[in-house]
Amino acid sequence: MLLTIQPDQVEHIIPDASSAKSAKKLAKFEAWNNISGSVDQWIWGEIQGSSIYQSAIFLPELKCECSCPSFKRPCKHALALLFVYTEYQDKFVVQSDEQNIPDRVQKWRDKKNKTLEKKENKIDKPIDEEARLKRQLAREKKMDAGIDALQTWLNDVVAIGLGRLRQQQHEKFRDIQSRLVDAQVAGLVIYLDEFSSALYQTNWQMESSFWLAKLQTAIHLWKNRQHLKPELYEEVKQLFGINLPADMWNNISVHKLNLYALGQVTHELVNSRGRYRRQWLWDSQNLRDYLILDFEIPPHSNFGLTLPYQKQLPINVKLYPVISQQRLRLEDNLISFNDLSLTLVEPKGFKNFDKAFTQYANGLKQYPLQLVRFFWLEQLRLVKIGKTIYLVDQDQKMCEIEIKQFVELWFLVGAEPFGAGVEWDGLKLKLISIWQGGHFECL
Amino acid sequence: MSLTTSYREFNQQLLLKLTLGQQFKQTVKVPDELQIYVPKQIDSAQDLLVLNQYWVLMQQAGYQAQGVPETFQKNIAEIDQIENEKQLDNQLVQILKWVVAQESPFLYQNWVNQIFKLAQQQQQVIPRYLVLKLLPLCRNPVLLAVILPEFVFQGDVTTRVDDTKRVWKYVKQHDAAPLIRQLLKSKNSEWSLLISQLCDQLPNFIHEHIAEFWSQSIQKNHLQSHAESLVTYNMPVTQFEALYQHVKTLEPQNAATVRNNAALGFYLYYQDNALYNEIMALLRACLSYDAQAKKVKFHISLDQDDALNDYGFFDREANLLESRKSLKTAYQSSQVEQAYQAFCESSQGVLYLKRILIQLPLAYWLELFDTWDHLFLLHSQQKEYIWNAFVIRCYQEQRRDLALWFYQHQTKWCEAVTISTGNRLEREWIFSLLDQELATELLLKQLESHYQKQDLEHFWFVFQRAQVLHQDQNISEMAAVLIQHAYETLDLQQDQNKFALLKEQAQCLILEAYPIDFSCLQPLFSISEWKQLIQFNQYKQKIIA
Repeated sequence: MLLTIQPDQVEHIIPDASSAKSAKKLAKFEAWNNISGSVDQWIWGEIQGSSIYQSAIFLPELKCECSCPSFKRPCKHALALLFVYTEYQDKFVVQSDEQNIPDRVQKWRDKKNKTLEKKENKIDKPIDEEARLKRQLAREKKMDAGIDALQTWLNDVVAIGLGRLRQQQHEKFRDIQSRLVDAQVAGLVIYLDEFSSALYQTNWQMESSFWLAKLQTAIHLWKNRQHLKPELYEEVKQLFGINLPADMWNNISVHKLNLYALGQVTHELVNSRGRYRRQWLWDSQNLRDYLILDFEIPPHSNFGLTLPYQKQLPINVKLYPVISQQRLRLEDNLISFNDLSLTLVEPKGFKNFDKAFTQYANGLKQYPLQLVRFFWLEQLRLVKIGKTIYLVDQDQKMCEIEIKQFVELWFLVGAEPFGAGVEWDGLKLKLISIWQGGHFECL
Repeated sequence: MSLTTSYREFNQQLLLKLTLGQQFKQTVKVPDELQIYVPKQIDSAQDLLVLNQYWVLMQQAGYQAQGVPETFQKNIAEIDQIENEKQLDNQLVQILKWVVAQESPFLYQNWVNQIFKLAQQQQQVIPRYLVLKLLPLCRNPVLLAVILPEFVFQGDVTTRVDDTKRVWKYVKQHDAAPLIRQLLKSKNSEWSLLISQLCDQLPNFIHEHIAEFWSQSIQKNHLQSHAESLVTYNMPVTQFEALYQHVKTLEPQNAATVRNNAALGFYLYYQDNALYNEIMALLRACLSYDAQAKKVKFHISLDQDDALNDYGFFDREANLLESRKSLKTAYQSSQVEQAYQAFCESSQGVLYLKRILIQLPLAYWLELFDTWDHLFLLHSQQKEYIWNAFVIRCYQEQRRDLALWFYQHQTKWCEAVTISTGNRLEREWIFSLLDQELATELLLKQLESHYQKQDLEHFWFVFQRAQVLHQDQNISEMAAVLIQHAYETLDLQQDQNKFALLKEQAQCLILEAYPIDFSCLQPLFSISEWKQLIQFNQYKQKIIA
């Protein structure tokens, strides 16, 4: 039985828009010849391009191979084959006889199997703990210098005033940002970006004082790092850009959680080509959020798995060993979600805004730099007062939301109550997804 | 969030201090709660940063939603639900949801329209959340007015459904005024589309209001173009008796009025007016049928040509301007007789003749040809044009008897899939008249014979046009077998276009024909398309059962 692939799973491995376009042109069932699959989840087919090209895909990883000369991987042929597969899966006959697998596909398959074996046989290299500690200390020393510079810079900013900063911001920001990059505190560069853009918002005084406070808190935590709980220290380190050593993951245990995937938000990465994505998961029993964060930096990396919406998923995860216990690493692949029952039960959520805000406040106690959290709220209504759009909860309390297309939303929910997923970052409420009746929509 | 007065003052002060920096000389009064973290007196930039740090944290931790102003609480409570609407059945909703999620939903426009028609039949409305996505897929305001939820028409949230809203007001609230206002205002092409849909689906509206509309159009000088679209869309003259009665009362009957009112068609169809006899007398002098030559002969002088033009025979058609010019040139030639003869035999001449005939009532045709059988004997030069004109005339006068007679004798001509000259659309009008019992039997026989010959092309041509037979189970079965057979003999790699055509036919069959078990057509569709089509088919079967 071949693995079922959903079209949106294919979407996530498309390198760019032009690839998508040309792949969809070739994704015609009748244009492909000799399509088949193997017991170990390879599929293949041939298409007439400038000559006949053979494409093959290893389904569990959506790894694409093709005999065409293109540098792009996956190329348009392999993507097209994958699209055809999503729509005409039953036309791919599984060849149980190895003899029937074309030679070229056989080669790709052997190559893949070898790398898999290699991975399994890799003897754990002993880690030189002493050298690691030495490297760490050297880095921290560099970072200390960067953080000192940032403190001086902030003092300077406050002395001249935010009003003046608005007028001369560019050079002012460029210097400190490159210093932070040099000092290997690249994580804080994003805060500075937010700070500089906050200066130009309508509510700029409020918003820039918010980011000023975040930066000061970061400095404060770093300077007191000796006194922090280890999980909080780890969280701060990750925020600043120190990655978790890969071998750490082996010591972290796998949890099985029952979660709903209730929305995703994609943003451009500042200062580099690429995007990052927040997939929000919701624990309907304990009313709390989890996050899968992944990055897409073409052509090197693509977004990982996209979880199916609307259903409660039993998923295996590892939690990042940090204080917020929010970010997850997924330990499943596509097969796990291949056959889920179709019963749709709306998740439980908070009954009013204030419960959600209280949870946010509790999170701040643990981790003062906590930024975005996701809440599921029940029984909200959409209300427009003047030009401002609000969500109103069951207690007749309301929160302003930022949306561009009111009419679309109004048609979506009408005057009736709905369940909604919102992102809250301490400043702004953003509507992410909606569930009303049997209808779910991620905005 | 609202702050208490003392906090609000502090917040303002702090923001000012941060904005102005050292220029702000006032001392910031630190609230008691924050004095654990910062000194009472803020001296340095560092102190200020820390103060801001804790204040922002405190605000974040204490954030609360604000209460809804009382005036709005009432409003929220007042928005009532519209309970008496029947929602579209879930099976169909699922298909619509699938369509709007597709990358090119326009490929499935036909699906959407069929689903809307089912909704209309069962007086159900589509879910509100699909409305905006489906609007671009249906251009039929009359259909939309019935299947959109009332929500869409409340308030003034959108301008995208204006026409639909007007139709809705007429259908649901019996308020025709907005629709009439719009018809008066709209430009030619919009007008044509709307009026043809109204004629088709709301004949009552036309009967009740066309006269009112017409008299206002005359005042605004819009008539010409509007009347033209009536002709362009070949609406049956019989539908407009009320209009004729109205036009007749407007002004004394003379050529100019008729022309200005663009009412020639009506005046010629109804005989209780002086104009009818005037024009007929003129035509009797010009036209005759020559049984020997098997041609309609016309002897038209330039004066007669002018007279016809005055009555409005030739209005605005570019091709006819050319024809009339040629006629003039012929009369200016040194050898008039020969030149005129050449004109009569040229395609421009035949077109000129067709234009006259197409406006003349069939009663006059019979007088001209003496017996209908002469139509079949016509010379090949004139045959195509005159037959086309005849079909259109039959349609405008809704002569089902003549249409059946013509189809019986000229089946091949009517069913020609490809034609070299003339307008195929014109001859296809005949099928819309073949809906009485005798005609359907004939059509059924035709389809059976195409089926026996495994002639999918002709089978399909007739099937598509013979709407009356769409609910016949045998037809569905024959069509499915023919399509399946064509698919099996197809070399996919060689005939990709043919595959696309077959797929379209299969799709059309499932959507529009009697719902049988179509599983033999599955290979033509993708998994997800097939899933939707199966659902749709099962739904139709359920309704019929």
